[in-house]
Amino acid sequence: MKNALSVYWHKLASVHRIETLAQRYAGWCYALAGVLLALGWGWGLFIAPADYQQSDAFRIIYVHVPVAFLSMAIYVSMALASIAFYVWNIRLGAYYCRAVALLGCCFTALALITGAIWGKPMWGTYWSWQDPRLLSELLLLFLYLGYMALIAAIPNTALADKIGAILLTIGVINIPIIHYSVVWWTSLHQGATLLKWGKPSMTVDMLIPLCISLVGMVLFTAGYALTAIRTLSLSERNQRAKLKRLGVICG
Amino acid sequence: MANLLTKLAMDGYGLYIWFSFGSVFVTLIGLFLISRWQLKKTLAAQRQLQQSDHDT
Repeated sequence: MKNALSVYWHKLASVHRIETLAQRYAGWCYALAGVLLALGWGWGLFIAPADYQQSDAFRIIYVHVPVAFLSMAIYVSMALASIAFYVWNIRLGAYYCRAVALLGCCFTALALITGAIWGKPMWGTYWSWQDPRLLSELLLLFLYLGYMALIAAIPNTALADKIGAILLTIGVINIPIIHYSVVWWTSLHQGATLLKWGKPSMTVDMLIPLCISLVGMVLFTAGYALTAIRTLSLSERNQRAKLKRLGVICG
Repeated sequence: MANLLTKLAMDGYGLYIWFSFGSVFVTLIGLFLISRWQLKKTLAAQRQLQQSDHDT
């Protein structure tokens, strides 16, 4: 039974299967993401009412919250994929981490940039070195950069993936620190808007475009991940074919 | 026209808002184009390998 389950799990997470999925659905994910982002951002910019305290400046929320949420969600998914790769030797885990690292890094940088731009009119400053939320998010950016530098620096792919998996698993401790930093310590940053117990701190007419933007961004992430995994898998197959041919020539 | 400009000025926060949305938009387009370009390059390399295999 355990063996059958393991076979099923490996089949489900096979790179070949994801390649087929990517071929079929990556384009759809991108197209749907485009439609939802246009709708969510258009609604957020021109239809949603202005905030009674922050006026129109609050509209930055429609880009800041989705990228900040995904910067953390992508890191958590990479840590889980790393565990699957390290513990059960599921190769897709390593492919996934390599594929989405750049995306996670860009989203983290964007969360910091849009947060700083929002901070200037609201807090009077772009950045504060005393703020725990800003510093822990900056640390997340360094974790992404560190992971990408690490896998690029080690020529042995299998070894690079294993060491990268350890870094990602250890680094995941930063995620609850980012989330709860505004609760545990004094921070310029406001408290959680969506991910909290009870009702969200927004009215429905402001919340709907935010949810649409968030779903759009998740679909973009899915499209990018599928395309990048397919590219990595194909490129590794090409490399193997080249080596095989070289072996034939040498032989 | 004046009405549209007032709307785009976003109560004096227009520069902050448009720069934020613009930076995210440009990054998403860039990431999309990079991922498609890398895939096309890899598929072309695969086709070239298959073609040369076929020729030999």
